[in-house]
Amino acid sequence: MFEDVTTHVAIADSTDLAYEHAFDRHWSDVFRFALAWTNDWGAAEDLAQDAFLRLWDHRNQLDWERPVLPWLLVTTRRLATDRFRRLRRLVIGTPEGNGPDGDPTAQVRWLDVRAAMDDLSPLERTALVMTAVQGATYDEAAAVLGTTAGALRAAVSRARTKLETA
Amino acid sequence: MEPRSKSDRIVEEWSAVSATARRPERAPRPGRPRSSLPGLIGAGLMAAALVLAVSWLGSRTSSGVGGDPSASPSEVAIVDSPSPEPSASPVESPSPVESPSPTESPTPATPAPTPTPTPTPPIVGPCTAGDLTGRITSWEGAAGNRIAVVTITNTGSDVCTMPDTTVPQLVDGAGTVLAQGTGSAGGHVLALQPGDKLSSEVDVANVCTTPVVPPVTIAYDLGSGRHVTSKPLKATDSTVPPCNGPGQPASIQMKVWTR
Repeated sequence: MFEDVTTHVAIADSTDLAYEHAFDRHWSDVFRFALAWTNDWGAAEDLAQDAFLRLWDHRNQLDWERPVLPWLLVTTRRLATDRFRRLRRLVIGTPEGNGPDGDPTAQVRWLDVRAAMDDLSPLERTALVMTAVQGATYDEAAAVLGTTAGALRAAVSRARTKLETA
Repeated sequence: MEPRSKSDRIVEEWSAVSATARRPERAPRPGRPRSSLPGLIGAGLMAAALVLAVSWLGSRTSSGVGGDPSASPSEVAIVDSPSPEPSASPVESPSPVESPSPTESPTPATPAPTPTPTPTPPIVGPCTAGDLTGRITSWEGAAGNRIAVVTITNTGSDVCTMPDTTVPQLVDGAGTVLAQGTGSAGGHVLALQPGDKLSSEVDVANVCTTPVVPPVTIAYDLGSGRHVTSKPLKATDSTVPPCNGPGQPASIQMKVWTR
């Protein structure tokens, strides 16, 4: 999942350009990671935006020859578990609504799949999505999610069992 | 063709729907309007909400927030205790993210809309044998046993992780395994910054193998094929615990690694 970005960002001749490349290449990965963690479309868009703002803030400290996606995903996870963020959302709600913009069919599909995934914990959802959708290895996903590969396997197993029996 | 399971269908649907998300036209930068927040009104509401929320938190004594067990610190913590090191290792850990620690306790008297800067745990990989240096710092005898105090140090240049439970072996200078620990490496994951040291105790008994070639030392199986051999206390050390049960296997066990 993480190997293919190194060359891409390494050719950037400035950190600004590298940042733009990272945004072009990884916004979807970051959004989907955030969506898996939160199960909330608006929150995921919000998190992805904030993660890239953090990347912008730290662009001069990063080693751009290394894959930047793990950094983005860990940052997204940290932001998602930010106590203040959750409180803010608790009080003022989701600003962007609950599904893809402008496509009623996609919105209905999202509500269905969101309901199906709702019984899973953030770790279980994200572990399942990272390994089954985004192609991360258990070791890669474990590093991002702050756990071990064994715990990741268990989380994926629990997630599948819950989905099968729901 | 094998029928897809229900979970596979849900995952595929999740993948298809999430792929319809539209990337913002421009990468976010400070000063650019946020696409997901309603401008100044939203900012004002947010600030007010945060003050209210912090006040509300202040009236609570538990550390739980919003009753959301799924975001508990134990679940999201990447390591046992990430060391704040925003600049020592920019290659491996270039991520001082400003966000409050999940374990931070509420402070009723200090409403703080601005989160306290906290370094993000770095993306770290498992320590390799080359990253770690083991050493026996002492041997003590006790009622038929020998107990070694051992340390292991990250002598590499990057932060890395190792399990707190490893499988010990007592080995001699010829590479003969005199005592083999049981179980497997695992337990909690410890992050070691460069220079960090862990210690433990290894208790060995009933070694009946002869002859023993000096030096006797202790090796550890860290899992995933990684092994570290400690530097012996002395190059001439050939002392082993007494053979109290010929025909019975030697025993060796160790405590978990601690800082």
